[in-house]
Amino acid sequence: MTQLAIALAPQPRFIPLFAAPTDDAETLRNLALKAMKVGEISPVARPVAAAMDTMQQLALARAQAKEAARKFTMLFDSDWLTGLSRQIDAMLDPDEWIEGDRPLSPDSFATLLLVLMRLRLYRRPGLGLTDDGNAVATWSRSATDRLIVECLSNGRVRWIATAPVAGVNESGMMETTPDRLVMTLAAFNPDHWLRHERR
Amino acid sequence: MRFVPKKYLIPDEEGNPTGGIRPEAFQLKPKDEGRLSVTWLEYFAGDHPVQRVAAVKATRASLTVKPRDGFAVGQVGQIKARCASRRHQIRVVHAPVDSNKAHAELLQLPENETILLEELATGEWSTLVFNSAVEAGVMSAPEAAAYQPTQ
Repeated sequence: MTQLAIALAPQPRFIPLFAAPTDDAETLRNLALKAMKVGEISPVARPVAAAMDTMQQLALARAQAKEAARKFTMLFDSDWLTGLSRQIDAMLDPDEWIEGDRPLSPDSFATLLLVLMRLRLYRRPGLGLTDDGNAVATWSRSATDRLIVECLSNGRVRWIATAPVAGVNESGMMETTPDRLVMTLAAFNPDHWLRHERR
Repeated sequence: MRFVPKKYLIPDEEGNPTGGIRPEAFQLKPKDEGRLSVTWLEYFAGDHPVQRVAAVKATRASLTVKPRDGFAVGQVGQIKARCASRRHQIRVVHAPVDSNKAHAELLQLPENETILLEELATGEWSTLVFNSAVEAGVMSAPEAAAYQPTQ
């Protein structure tokens, strides 16, 4: 079963590495979309993919996400990518899967890649999924001091943050673009999450 | 006490669940039909730690609970007060089901108020008990509640 999913996943082929690191928002977005395009299932294989069971879909989603992430070896250091690969496995772990949940949305993962490219010099986030298959990136110092970023399939992000201020927890949320994420978090001093104990 | 699957726990970059509970753990789903399922701790006899263990075991008897799942423990009065601060008058009712006689439901919790759910997840409902931290075993809740209202 899993072999079928892997067979459907994008096969390694000769693809030039992407250009050198850049912070230009439009370039990064194009890179992420291009990477997810590489990971797309061909029209011929789509009916087969649609008929796959949950375990096969998860295997395919893991393979697609890792293949897309590998396109950015010029942007992320190898530890980062190795860690990300482990996190993708955990996020789509068949043993923890709840029947009825949707596997990772490729469009949401493209948004996550945009966020990761933007924040690649900071601590790597924890990763999770929403019931709808959107990727979630999290940075936390404790259960009451954390940042949750949901990566939407339309290229935008929705953040929810809580931090203690003068002994009282303050919470906020906003929808924005990946390149404005840190700026819109200014009231919470996002460095205290993003730079905390980077490994 | 609310069952929290692992997917609603916030991991660090190594996958350790150190960031508490995501607000979606308290989000009503269409299948909930407006009723958020919980297990009533005071239904069980004993002091608080004993009640927690009994409630976890009763929940295991009624749901598929995996080792890395957890349970959010909160005090009803504090949860009600937090909701009231956002102008939501929730109710909590005992609603026993065959598989869990200690089952209860939160009614009138708003469906799309993420900030309130985040406040609960980081405040009144933030106490997290990991399933793996509770001794193994399954136990059906007794037919009658141990709780006796004070006169």
